[in-house]
Amino acid sequence: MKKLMYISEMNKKVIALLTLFSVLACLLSPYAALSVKAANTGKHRIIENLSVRVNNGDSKVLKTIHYDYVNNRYVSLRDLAAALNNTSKAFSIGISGTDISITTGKNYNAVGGENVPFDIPEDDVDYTYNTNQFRTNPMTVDGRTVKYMTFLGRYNTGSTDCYMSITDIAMLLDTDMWIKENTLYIDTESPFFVDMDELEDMGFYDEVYSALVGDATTGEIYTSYMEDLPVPLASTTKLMSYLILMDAVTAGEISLNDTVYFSENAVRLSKTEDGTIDIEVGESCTLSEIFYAMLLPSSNECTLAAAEHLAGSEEKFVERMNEKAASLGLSDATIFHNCHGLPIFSDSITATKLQNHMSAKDMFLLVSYILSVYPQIKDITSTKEYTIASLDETVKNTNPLLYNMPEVVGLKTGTTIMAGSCLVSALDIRDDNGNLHTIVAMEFGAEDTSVRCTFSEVLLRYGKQVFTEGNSDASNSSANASIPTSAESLIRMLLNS
Amino acid sequence: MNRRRFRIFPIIIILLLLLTVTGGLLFVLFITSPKRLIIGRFSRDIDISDGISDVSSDWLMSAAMGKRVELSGIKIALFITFDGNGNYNITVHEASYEDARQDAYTAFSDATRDLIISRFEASGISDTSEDAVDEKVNEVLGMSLQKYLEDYGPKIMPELSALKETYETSGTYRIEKNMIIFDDGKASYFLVNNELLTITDGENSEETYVYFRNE
Repeated sequence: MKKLMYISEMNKKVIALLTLFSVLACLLSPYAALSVKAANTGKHRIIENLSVRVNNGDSKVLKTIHYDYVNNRYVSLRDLAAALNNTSKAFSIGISGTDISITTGKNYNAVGGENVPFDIPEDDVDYTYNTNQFRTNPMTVDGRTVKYMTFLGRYNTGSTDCYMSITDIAMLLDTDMWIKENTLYIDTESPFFVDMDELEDMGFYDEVYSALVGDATTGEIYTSYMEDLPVPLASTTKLMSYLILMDAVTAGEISLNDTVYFSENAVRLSKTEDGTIDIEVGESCTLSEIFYAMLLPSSNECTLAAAEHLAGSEEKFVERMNEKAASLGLSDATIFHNCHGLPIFSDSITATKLQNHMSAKDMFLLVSYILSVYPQIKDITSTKEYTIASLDETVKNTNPLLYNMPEVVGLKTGTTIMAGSCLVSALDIRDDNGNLHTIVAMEFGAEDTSVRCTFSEVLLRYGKQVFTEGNSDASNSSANASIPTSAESLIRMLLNS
Repeated sequence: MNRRRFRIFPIIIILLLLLTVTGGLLFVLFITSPKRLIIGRFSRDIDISDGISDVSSDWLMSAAMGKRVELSGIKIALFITFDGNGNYNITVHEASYEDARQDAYTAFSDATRDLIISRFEASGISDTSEDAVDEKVNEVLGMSLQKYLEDYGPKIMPELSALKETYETSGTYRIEKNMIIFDDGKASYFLVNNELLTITDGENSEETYVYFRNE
């Protein structure tokens, strides 16, 4: 017994020393984690010296890390920048600590090690190439903050490099890339192009439960996947909550200047792990402030407070949500149990976890309606950061596409375990007649934030591509093509002009 | 005694004559000759408000926040003319059609403007006066709202040609007692009134049209 106690004491001291060393190492260097074997610190088993050919030029090495799985390629930005020098897609990159800055239209100045193979054998089965943690490292492009998942690696030469998803960098540079026979081809004279048929054949939709992209202004759906499947909505529910509240404002039941008090229910919710803004009973803010809290950081407590303010109780508010869904002609796939999208349990012995559900097609109809009647929602959902003066709280938008695509104007993220990482996104674009259209893309069920972001951006870019191609066809038709032919198109034209 | 009866007899004859003449005069003056009345032009109005309301409402309600509009008093005149020689014709009064068209599109334009105002208010636009809306429409479409609806909106008015095809006809007629028999064999009743003509489609038919003398 004494021997066991002695060993236990020794182990405690060893562990303490190692922990102290690790903490010190982390504080001294952003790459200290490279020296510590622990989960999720950027250990990569699969590395590749991919070939890259720019505009059918000579083949060069593009160091590539397959993140966790084969073909989930993250490429060296320094190698890529060097390969694109003296082309229309040239860019320079600077890395300082974990901050990455990219400047497009500028040649890259080499620091050494570009376009040479990894400094270790690819087939060394004992080797694990280390980088820092996969995360949204601070990154700017031409001074504009972007939100992409990347990781940073250091070579034996001491220089650091940033690895970025091959899809993300192709979209960021807006250049056509494709892989064929272990070679990455880049055509700098062609924009990023989405071949949806090819993507579908290659299982693009396997990453989600359902998806859809279309023109919300005309109602045309460009492409969809499982559009009628009922899927859990998570916080994208709050788009319907917004509609109910705005209908009440229009009807004069409530006002944007109303003071909304937080009940015990709302305060209790704010104290849970699903709470976003810490509030106390008796605190209040205006309804217009509530909208920012609801749609930017997705505050469940603020949504609940607004629902109670209008209807007296969440139950009565949810009744309105379901009635509105019916009046809009949404299908049976749509059902609301609460105003915010969190899971709840049914009140029975065999309690079942319930979540709000809707189909992608129904969501498209809902969003199209909201954008036509209350286009001012885009003023809120396009805001990256907002200070709620009444609560002395600054909130941030959870939608990463606001940063990555400047034309994006919203709309709402949603995340639960069952729903996955959902995103309903929108971008504004004008046709040749100057009329404003809003392209809406949505996905439900993405595995994580990274997939949500990339998948949604691909979908939105596809929507933009289809719109642009269709617009150029339409511009060749009669001059009267710009005259609206329905009451709704007339009103939208007047609102969007 | 015989002398008294002889003196009374002429008085009786005179009284009978007077009664006959009076009766005849009464008959002529108040129980008018059908043949003499069925000369000239009579008119009746066709109310087309319901149809216009339906088409207008369908168009408005296809938009978010669109509501049904109920129009009334939009009418087109039909004329029936008897020449007194056994010939008649029924025509659609084109001037009244044009008046009805103007009234219909004015009402439709007003309802559309109201919808636009509602939508502007909902979207947070501050100036939602009628003038502001009209100005916006002119700026965007290059024409007034009514002109846009007339040229590019739904066809809320029945076509004049269709109305003519439905209602216009001509032929012959004859009078039998209180009945006008049109060449197609339809019977009709008419009131003993110089200003009013009631035509029913068959002796026991519920379909009755009232025409008022027009000239």
